[in-house]
Amino acid sequence: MAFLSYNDEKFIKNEFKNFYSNFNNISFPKEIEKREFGYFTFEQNIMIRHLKVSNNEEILKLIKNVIPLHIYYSSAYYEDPSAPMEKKGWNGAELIFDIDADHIVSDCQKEHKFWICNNCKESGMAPIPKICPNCKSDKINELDWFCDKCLTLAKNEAIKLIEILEIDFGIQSKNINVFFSGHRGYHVHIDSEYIRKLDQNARREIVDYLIGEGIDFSRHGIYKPKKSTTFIGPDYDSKSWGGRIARGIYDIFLRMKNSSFEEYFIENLGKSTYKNFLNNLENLIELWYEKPVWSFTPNIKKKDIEKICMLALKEQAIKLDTVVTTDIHRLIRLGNSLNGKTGWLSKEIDINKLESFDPLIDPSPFDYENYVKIKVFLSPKFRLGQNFFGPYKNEVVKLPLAAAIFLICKGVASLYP
Amino acid sequence: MSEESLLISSLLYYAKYPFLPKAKEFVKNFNLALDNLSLPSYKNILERAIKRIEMAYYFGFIDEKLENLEVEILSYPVALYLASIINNPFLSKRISLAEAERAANFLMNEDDKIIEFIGKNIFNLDISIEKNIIGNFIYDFSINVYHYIDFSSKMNAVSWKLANRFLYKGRVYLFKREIVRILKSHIENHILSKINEYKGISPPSSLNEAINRIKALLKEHTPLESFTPIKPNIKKFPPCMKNIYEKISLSESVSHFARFTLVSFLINLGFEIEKIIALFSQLGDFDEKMTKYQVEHIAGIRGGKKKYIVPSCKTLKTHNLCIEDGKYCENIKSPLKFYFKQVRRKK
Repeated sequence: MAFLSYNDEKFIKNEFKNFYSNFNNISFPKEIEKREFGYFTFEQNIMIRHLKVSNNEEILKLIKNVIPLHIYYSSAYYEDPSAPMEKKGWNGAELIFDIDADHIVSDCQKEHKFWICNNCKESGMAPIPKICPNCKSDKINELDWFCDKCLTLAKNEAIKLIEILEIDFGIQSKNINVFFSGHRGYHVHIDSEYIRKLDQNARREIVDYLIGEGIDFSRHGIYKPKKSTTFIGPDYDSKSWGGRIARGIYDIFLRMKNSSFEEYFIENLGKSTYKNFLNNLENLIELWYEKPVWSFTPNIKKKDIEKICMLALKEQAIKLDTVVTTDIHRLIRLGNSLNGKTGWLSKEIDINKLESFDPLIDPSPFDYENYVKIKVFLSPKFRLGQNFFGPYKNEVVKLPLAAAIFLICKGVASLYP
Repeated sequence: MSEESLLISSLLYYAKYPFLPKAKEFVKNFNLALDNLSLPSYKNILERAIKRIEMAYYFGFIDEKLENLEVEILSYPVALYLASIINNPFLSKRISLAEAERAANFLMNEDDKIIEFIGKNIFNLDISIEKNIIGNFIYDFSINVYHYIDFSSKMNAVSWKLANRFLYKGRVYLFKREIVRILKSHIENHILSKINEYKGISPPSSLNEAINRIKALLKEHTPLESFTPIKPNIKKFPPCMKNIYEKISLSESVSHFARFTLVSFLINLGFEIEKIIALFSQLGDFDEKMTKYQVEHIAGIRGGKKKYIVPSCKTLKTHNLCIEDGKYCENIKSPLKFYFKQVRRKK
């Protein structure tokens, strides 16, 4: 666990205990008696699992009793959730998608990767040293922060995912549940009679569709017919990947106007392809304004078209943790429980309000009225609600309880006596 | 009763699709006693059942004879029954596959409504006739995406990948041949489960002779050394044979009937058996022993010692193997004729 001292751990556990004592609003999974539960305690760094409960009250009782640092339940439905893995009797599983800011490449990532030495509390930005340059200890704690930018990118991926699930897969929004993970990502859960029974291979097919793995453009109508000198392709409103790639290409053209993307496009298209498009850009934007013109302009070659299709596909593909979705025995965070990495709630979001959802507006269930004195070893500037905190480096500060709990859970601060 | 369900309530349909519940009912009403199967009056049923097994085992397909409908219908459960008794997993698999292939060939020539009816009512598949033009593709059917991936996730070809399909509102669009391919897999599983349901049951002594004949068939199976692949010159092949040959060379899956046709074609041209086997080694489901066995059988070295003739153009047309209605073939009646004409022309 990331707590810097035993006192910090005790303090947080007590706060979690106070919170859970008056809290009954857990998002109870359906058919709770068929689910396996597992949790991490504050004291031990191992997961206690293969637990079963017979009703909602029992899980509340368990939470109030053990005060878990993290608590999870199985996406799977079992005959006997408490039996050893091979004897549980798998009866189907929800389909789970995990989108984490960590999996999305963004330029802010390098700005919020840093380390802290658990021994002497020395800290610094990435690159992460193997041993502490100050005390030579190897107890280096690597920390990944986040910012509004990468949280928004993660949210946009979740929105994109839900759009494909609804439009392409025809999944009704009432069968989709979305949760903010209480840290840096989103979990999307789907359950239906059909979905429960899907095996690993079938789930892999769904994942491959979403991430665009193994796509053959010609199967989506993008190809050069025999005896033709130019490509043909789908319209913007075409179904499936065809339309998505067409729209993605136009979107790329619009961004090419902005020179700040130059490095990105050179990296993804190669210099000569990028230059070819750039030299014809005004023409192309005008041509593609109403509908895609797959003959492009005469100077655009076959390899340029293939490259821009690949980039459009890469951009439109959903960035998700594919292992989570294909795992039919996965344990996933219990909705509306506390995330021990932040002290925030993993809360369920109304799917219709996802677009305007701000994960940082009210992530912590702890209050802002009471203040706690803590020593912060290193923290970038961060936002909770409308308030900004930090940056801090080796300083003692008095912070609202919600902010103090967050920093202690992140392992960058300690209670100050 | 719907129009389609009435339509398939005839002996012709039971003979084509003997797995239909109505066909089963027909068999039941016939009161075919297993003990009597060896009686002379049932001889043709038993013989046809053994033939079904033989063909399935050797060639992976069963001919689509519909001369005596009653015999066709009744020999199907008898063949399955014999397979249950013999209880050889490989044979059971071969029979299921060949029976499914036979039914699929019939389905390809059916009206869309019949295909839809069988898919929906017999295999509980959520499919519907849905003519749809998307880009340059003209689709005939749509299927529920979960029913689709249940099938496609077991397939290797990239064209079956969900990511390469048009998917809209939970429906995947398919061509007729694709929906028939999916149905074929359901038919195969259905038949295999039927064989396995009664596997290992003990037969009435009157069937001993038939069972011994089939067991002898299985024993003929001998091991084989490996061969270096060769590439025959295919320039003179008719388009249909060229097409099958190229597909096999590219490791694409082709029907058992297509394989049979190509083998008999190559043998009749005088290709060495070893070279033919080497060609088939390109295929993903290649089984060296089995291939050798089948090729030798077609060549007339084994079994009935009768060399098989190449299917005629007419037969190839019914199996959808003819290319563009034979427009490159100048009114020939057999693929071999095309080849010999080409050779003469060269001279």
